[in-house]
Amino acid sequence: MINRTHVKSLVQQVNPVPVAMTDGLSARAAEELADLVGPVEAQRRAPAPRSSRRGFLVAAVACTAAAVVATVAVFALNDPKEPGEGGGDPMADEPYFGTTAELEGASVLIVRARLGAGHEETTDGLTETVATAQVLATAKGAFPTGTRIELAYTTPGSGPETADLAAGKEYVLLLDELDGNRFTPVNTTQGVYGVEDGHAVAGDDNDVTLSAGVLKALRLLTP
Amino acid sequence: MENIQTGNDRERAARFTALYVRDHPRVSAFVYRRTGDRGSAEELTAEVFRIAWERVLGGEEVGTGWLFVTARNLLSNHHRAATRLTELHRRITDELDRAPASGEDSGVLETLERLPERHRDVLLLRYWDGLSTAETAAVVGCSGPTVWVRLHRAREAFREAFRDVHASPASLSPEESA
Repeated sequence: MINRTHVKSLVQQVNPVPVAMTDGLSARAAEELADLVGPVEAQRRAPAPRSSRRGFLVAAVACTAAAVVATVAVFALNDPKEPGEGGGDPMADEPYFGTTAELEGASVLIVRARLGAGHEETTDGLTETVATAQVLATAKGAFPTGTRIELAYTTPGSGPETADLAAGKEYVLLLDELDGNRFTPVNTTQGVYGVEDGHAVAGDDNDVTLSAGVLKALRLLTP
Repeated sequence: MENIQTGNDRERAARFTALYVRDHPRVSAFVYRRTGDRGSAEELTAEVFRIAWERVLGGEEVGTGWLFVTARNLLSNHHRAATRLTELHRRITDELDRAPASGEDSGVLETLERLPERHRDVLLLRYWDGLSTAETAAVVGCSGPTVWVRLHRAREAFREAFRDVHASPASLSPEESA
């Protein structure tokens, strides 16, 4: 039986050019970059006297190429996590819910909760943040106000699609249950709504609104 | 998705350099996975960025999604004959001097091979190429939410096909058959 995350790991393990092998530019790529942007940089410099123009341009392009290679090195050192890469897990293996009914129906627990501080855990090559959250109101599930639940979620900022979760803030959480009384958002982008001025605010790439019944149970305002 | 916008030449060059440094390795790997030949991949990737630079100089916007779409278009122009995934994998692992596919890996490759192109595409774009939802949407020409739906369906199709592959004795390695 292939579980929720297995498809992803199976496909990734047969990637003939793993992401880790795509770090940094090759010497050829760096030279090609210098070929492209060099003349522009050369033109930026003050025009040389006509008699020495050729020599100036050769030197300018050479300097530019060196600068580009240096820039490349600085970028490579300062920006180790490329989009879609990194030590975390940028792409959750999860469904997308097209309607409110589907989203709420797939959730075993829907609560309004305040998130506590978390720590990272790695299981089967999947790094997630684990944190507790204090339930402030419940719309679905058997966790009354005041109880604490344990959450596991994709570490914020570890990829292009992560919920903007921060300790101390309130959220509406639509959760699925993992083993051991631990919960996880039903979808990285759809399982978390921010709470702002009494409203539930959906994240990017989520155009599904919560039902009036859920909002009322969570003591939130309807749109 | 970061865009390059018109500005002075120095700013253009700096922005293009940032885009190039960030995305050239990704585009190059994307092409390499589909050609099975490093030299061809380097040539094609260079062409992608040459076109990108021309667009930048012309005051047009260039973003990561555009780079992958252009790479895909160039691939379709230069590599019309579809090479089997298993063969591409073998060529690349040979060239990189990496271990060949194991029994389970062969099953996964065969499963991917059996999938309809629309399912295989989205799985590879996400899990091999590491494209974000927005980048995947640009490449396949759909909306972000549609990418999630397609990914969900592709995973379901993979699970089903993978079960079939493992149920077929011919697909198992000698050790697994024993």
